[in-house]
Amino acid sequence: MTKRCWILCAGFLLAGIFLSSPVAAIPSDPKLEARISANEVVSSTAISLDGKIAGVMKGNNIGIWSIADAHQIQMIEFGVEQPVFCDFLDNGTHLLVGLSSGKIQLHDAQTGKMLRLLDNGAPPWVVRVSRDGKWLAAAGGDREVHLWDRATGKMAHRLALELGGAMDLAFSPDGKMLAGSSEDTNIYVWDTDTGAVRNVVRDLSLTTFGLAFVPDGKWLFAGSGDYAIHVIDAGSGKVARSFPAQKMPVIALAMAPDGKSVAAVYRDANEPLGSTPILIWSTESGGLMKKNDSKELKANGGGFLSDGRLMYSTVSGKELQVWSLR
Amino acid sequence: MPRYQLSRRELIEKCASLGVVVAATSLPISAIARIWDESEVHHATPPNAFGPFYKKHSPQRRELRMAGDTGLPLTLTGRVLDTRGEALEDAKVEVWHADHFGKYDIEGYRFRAQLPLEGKGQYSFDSVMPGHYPDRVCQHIHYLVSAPGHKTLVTQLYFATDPVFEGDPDKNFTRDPLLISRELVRPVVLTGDPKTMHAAVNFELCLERL
Repeated sequence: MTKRCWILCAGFLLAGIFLSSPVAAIPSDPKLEARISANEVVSSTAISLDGKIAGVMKGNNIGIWSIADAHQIQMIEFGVEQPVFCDFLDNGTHLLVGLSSGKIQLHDAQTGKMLRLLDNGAPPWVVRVSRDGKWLAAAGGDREVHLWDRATGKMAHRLALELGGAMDLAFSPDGKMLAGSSEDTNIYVWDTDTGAVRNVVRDLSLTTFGLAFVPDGKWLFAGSGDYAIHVIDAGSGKVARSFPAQKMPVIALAMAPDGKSVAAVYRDANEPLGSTPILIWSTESGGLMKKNDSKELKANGGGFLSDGRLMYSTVSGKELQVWSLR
Repeated sequence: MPRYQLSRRELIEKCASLGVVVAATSLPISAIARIWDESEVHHATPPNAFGPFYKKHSPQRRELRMAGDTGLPLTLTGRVLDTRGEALEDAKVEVWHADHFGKYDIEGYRFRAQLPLEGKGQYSFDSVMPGHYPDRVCQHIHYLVSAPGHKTLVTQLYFATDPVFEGDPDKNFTRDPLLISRELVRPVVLTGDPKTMHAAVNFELCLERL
C-alpha cells in the first residue's frame, strides 16, 4: 500500500482531540447530516470542530461545504499541484493544506484566500498543529519530521526517524511533546522546545497508523497495524497495556475531548478500498462502548466535535455522506 | 597472525613504494591509484520507499516458499558490497513481500525473512513471484540492508517481466509513481517449460560508507 493511502486515512478523526467539552454516552445510531454530490473520487475529508463545514479533497482541488444545507461555500483550486492533506484550524476559520510539491498553505476557510505559505520540502502527508497554536509539525519525507514555529514561519527542528517516513503525528495537549510513528514501527517522542528525543517506543512489531494523547498528556494511545490499540506511558515510552486486538489494522485514532473514550477506525491491510469499521473504546476500562461495523461503511475523514459528537464522512459512489454519532 | 586486506589503491601504492610496479606515464602513482580506484567505484543501490508493512523479528531463513504455495517459483541471489566493491560479510539483509495474490501476511511471517549470508557477502533465497498489491502498480520485494560503518539501505526490487511494463521497463517504469529509479528493475531469467517454470533474479546491494 502506498504511504498516501494510509496517511489519508490516518489523518481521519483527529480534529477534536484537545477540546475540553465532555463527550456524552453514545446510545444512538449514526444520524445522516448531509449528502454532498462529489462527482469524482473524494480522497479525504476534513470537518470543522463546530461541525458546520467540511473540506472535501478531490483531484486538484478542495471544496468547502456547509454541512447544514449541503451548499458549496468555496472551491480552492491548486492547478498542477495536488493536495495530499487538509484540516481545519482555529475553530474552522482556517484551512491547512499540504501539497504534493511540499508546500503547506493556510487558507481563509470562507474566502479561500491563501494567507500563509511554508515550504516543507517534501510532501506533507500528515500535518498537526499544537493546541496553543505555537507549533506546526509535518511529515518531512523519508526519515524526517519538520517542526515549524507557526508565528515566525521558520523551521525550528528537523526531527530524525531512524528508518522510513512518518505515518502519524500528535502533540501532547500542553504542546511540550510531539509523538511521531514511523514505518520502521517505532514511535518517537520529542521535546518540542529542544528537538531532543525524549524516548523511543520500540516494543511494537508493526507500524502505528494513529496516535492520540489523553488530555493530561500522561498516556499516548497508538493504533497499530497489529490490530490493537496500545496505551503507552508518554514519560517512559513503555507499553502499559493493550486493548483487545480486532481483525484488521487500526488506521486512525481520535481521543474524545474528555479523554474518556477513544475512537478507532479499522481496515483490512490488503483491501485499501474495503470497509472501515469504527469502534469506540473506554480509555479507562478498555471496554468496547460502541461499534459500527457495517460492511458499507467506508469512512474517509472526520473527528470529534467540540460538543462531543463524533462526525465523520463516508463515500457511497459519487456521493459523500456526513454522519454524526452522539 | 593478523590478516590485512588492502584496498586496490593501497595495494598499488604499496607495490610502487616497493618498486614492484613502476609508473610508465608522467602521472604520479597516487593519481594512477586514484584513477584505478574510481574505475572500480560501484553505484550505491538507489533507496526506495519503506512502506507500511515491515514487521520486526522476522525469522532467519532462506526458504520463504513452502510446499503448496501458489505462484511462480522465484530464486533471488546477489551480493552485499560497498561502493568500492568490497564484500560486506557482516551485513544484515531483511526482505518482505506480498504473496502470489498480492496480500501481505500481517499476522504471521509468510514471505518475510532475515537472510543468512553465505560468505563474501552473498545472499540467496527461494520464494514466489509476488502478486500486485491492490494499492501499488508494480510487483516488488522490500529490502532492508545494514552493515557496520555503512548507511542503512531501504529499497525495493522490481521485475522487468512485470506486465505493467509491457515488455519495455525503460519506457514504462515510471508507471509506478514510487519507482523512481530504473536501476531497481531487474531482469528475470525464466527457465523450464510452462509447467515447471522457475524465475531467477540477481540483485546486487551496494551500500554507501558512513
